[in-house]
Amino acid sequence: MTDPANTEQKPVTPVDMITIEVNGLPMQARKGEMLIAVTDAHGLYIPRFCYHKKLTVAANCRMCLVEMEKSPKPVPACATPVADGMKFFTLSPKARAAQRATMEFLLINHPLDCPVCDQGGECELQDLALEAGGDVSRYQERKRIIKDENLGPLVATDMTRCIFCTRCVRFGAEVDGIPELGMLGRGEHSRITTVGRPLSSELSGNIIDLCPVGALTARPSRFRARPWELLAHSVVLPHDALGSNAFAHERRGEIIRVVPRDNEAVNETWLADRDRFSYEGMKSLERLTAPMAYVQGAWREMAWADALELAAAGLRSVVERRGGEALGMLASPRGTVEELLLMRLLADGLGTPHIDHRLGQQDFRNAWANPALSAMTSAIPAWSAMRAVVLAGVNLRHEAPLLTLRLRKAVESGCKVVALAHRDVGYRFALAQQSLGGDLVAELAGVARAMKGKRRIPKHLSALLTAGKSTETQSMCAELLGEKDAGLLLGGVAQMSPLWCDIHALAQQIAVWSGAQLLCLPQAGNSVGARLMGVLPDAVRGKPWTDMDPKGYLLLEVAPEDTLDAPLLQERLRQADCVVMLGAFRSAALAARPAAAEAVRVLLPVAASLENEGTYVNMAGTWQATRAGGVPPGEARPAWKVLRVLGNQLGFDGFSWNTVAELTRAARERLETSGQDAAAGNLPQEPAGAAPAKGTKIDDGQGIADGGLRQVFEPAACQTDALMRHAPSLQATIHARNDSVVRIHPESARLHGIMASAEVEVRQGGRAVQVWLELDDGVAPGVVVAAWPGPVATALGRSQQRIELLALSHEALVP
Amino acid sequence: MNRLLSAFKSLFLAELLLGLRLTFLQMTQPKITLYYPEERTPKSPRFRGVHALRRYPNGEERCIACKLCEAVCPALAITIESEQRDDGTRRTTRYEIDMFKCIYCGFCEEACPVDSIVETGMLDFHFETRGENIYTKQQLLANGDRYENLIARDRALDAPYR
Repeated sequence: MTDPANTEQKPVTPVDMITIEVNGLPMQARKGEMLIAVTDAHGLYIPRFCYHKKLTVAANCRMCLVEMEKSPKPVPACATPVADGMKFFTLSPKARAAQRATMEFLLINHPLDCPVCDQGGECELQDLALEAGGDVSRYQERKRIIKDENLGPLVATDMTRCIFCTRCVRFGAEVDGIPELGMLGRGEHSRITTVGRPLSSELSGNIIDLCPVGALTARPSRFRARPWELLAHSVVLPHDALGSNAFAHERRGEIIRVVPRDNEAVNETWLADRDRFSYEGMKSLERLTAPMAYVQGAWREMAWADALELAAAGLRSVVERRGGEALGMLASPRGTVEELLLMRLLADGLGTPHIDHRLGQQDFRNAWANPALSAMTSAIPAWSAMRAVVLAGVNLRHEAPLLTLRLRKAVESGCKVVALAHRDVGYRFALAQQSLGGDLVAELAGVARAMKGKRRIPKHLSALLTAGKSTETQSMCAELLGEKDAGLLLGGVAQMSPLWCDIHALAQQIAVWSGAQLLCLPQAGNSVGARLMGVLPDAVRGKPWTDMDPKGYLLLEVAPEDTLDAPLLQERLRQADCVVMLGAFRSAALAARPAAAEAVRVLLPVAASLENEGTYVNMAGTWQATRAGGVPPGEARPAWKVLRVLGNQLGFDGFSWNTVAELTRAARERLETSGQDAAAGNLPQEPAGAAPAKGTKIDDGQGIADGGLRQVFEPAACQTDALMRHAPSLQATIHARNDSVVRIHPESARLHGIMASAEVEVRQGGRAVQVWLELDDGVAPGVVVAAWPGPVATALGRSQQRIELLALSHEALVP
Repeated sequence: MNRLLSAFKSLFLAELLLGLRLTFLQMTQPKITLYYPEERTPKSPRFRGVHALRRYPNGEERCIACKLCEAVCPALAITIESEQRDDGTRRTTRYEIDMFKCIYCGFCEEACPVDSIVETGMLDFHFETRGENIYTKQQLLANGDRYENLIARDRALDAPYR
């Protein structure tokens, strides 16, 4: 078997190029390429079911039979390597007869229920039956019936319709790395099954696209629409740093489903489940549909004009009474470049130095330790060509699920991956080594020490790189990073750490010494864009979001649970005199009563990400434009319009853009005039020798030594943004359930008197929350892992603090 | 000669009498005036009147929300929304026909794979306020229940020619 994806990447020498003839037309091809790939490249369609460009060749459907010169029998186009001078006929009577015969066999057991089938109208079998099917069935016997599988809340099954192309099986085995679906039985008794288990992959939705018939369909949009009714809008999904490309299929203003849009440089043809199904959140009843304000002790809806006037007056009064310093602005790193530019301009106009988007970070000692700054400038496809990768403080399956596919491809071709992690997250590729130390500073210091040799330790690292021995894993990392095409990836777990600046400084030194590439995976879909637009506190007077304690807040799609310290922000919002919030969803925290009766609270409803037009900058620095996929509900308007009018209300000059395109142009011009290129690659680099870690060392609650426990937040799988949190099907998956539990190593649990998985109370400082505690062998000792955002993170706040566990029932005490 | 003939014709009102010939002939014929709506002319079983949604004999609605009628309707008069019913079957949650838009072409009837949407022989219906022209699923199903005998008879009569 040949992997088509690999053959494509081979360098093409003229010697390899040959000429074949198909239907009398000459076609250029690479020697040994499969005929169907050649004809696809030349725009000639050959019927197929089992062939897919991203999967291996199975040649089991026999639909692509074509006539070959000098061959007595027709040959399958998907499994016939071409050689110079070969002649094929895809439309000859012999080829057509073979296809007709195959179709007749396929239709023997395929039910004729197209009117109730969700695939009807976009079904490959239906289309080809029109072309190659007979009009009368000769089959008189009973049709075969197969019991349906329960594949979980995302994928609906009608297994009787299956034609055994095995695309879904091959996807699991070859692309995703978890062979969840398999074929049991022979002949008429064969069936595709998971043996009763629901799908656990975070990419399971892709089998819906792969299925050529209606056997696997999307459950959330089941029976809701027909393909011919849907309008496709090109969108970009800002749920992770890749910015996956997709089509939002809309009908009468409502998004019915989301399907992938091919982009080899970003998501190939795949889409993560959370990208595919988070659109459901847009129909949530929690959506804000009209501007609301807190007036005389009660929330009430009001007209846009009144709400904007109230918001502008509130902000103006804070600035007039206490100056611009008294105002803080927080913007979601999932906002578009245009919205973030407007936030920046509003901050300039209002004169506040406090503006931030780094809501998932708590250590700001070094402004240069910005994940967006050190984003790897090489393209995303380069990840499948890596030779060695060290994953430090990252749960790639949650942070960028599609990047794991790239890494898997690299591992298949010999790349070595080492994980320095807080827990074993179960990657679908073999790790060369995994260290579950849970202390990233120590791990990276060990790696740096192992590669230091006779080099001098820079002054700023002298405190971190104390003498000591490196472990075996650390030495291995040092060795691997020295190889060509090596990369060090710092993820969300590292970025949320209170010692992030130390981790970053060590990683940078490692990159300098080893020559490996350093990538800090940006935490959100437009973190890079936010950095480019300067949504950062003023270098001199500004304070990061953790330190600013303003009297007035302007929030762009930020709820307390979106930040690393929800209780803190919630309390500050309660105390503030004026809070103006642009959001798509109601939030319990924002609806809370303000501390002062005369305080101003305004909620302005805005479009959610898929209803928004604009630009996102992904981790490779690519500017990707997204179109509006649906119509915002009720009075909700795109945030850029709201911010623009707010600028007008405040009487600022230049707020006169009428389209998103004008704003995009303004954003690019702003970058050019400030000496930065529109591409993230040309971001200002950190001056050499600058001391990164300034200020006092933060107490990281290191509890391992004295037997104490510390919580570690890892990015959640399905809670990343408000849209996802309101998508019911996504929240019904096993991943969402995993987001709501905390994990601990059984040994550490035993030290604290807990013998079994049970409901516990987690206490930190004066805060407490009750959650399900799961004993998990794969967790580093001494830590309790919780998802951020998630119930624990929202209740407790801050990563890596000291905590205590309290068993709530007897079950926890009995092994 | 011609002038003489023309004078003769105009003097004796020949053209008028010629024209009234049909009138006088009809006076002797039997009268076919009907006292509508008590009396009605015979209709073809293919007559396309007001729409109805049919049910199976066990009371289950036939419509499976395949939306072929909506797709084929040249006047875009049909609007359908559907979802999975609790028993797992595919059903409409909304089935509306705008009777002002409808041109009674019968394509919906032709497209229906389960003989659910039909045009009955009923031609007399009216609206009194704006909005009544949109027939909802309940109204259409009620039509089906009310005229089922008529619908079934028409289908049976037309069956030999299909």
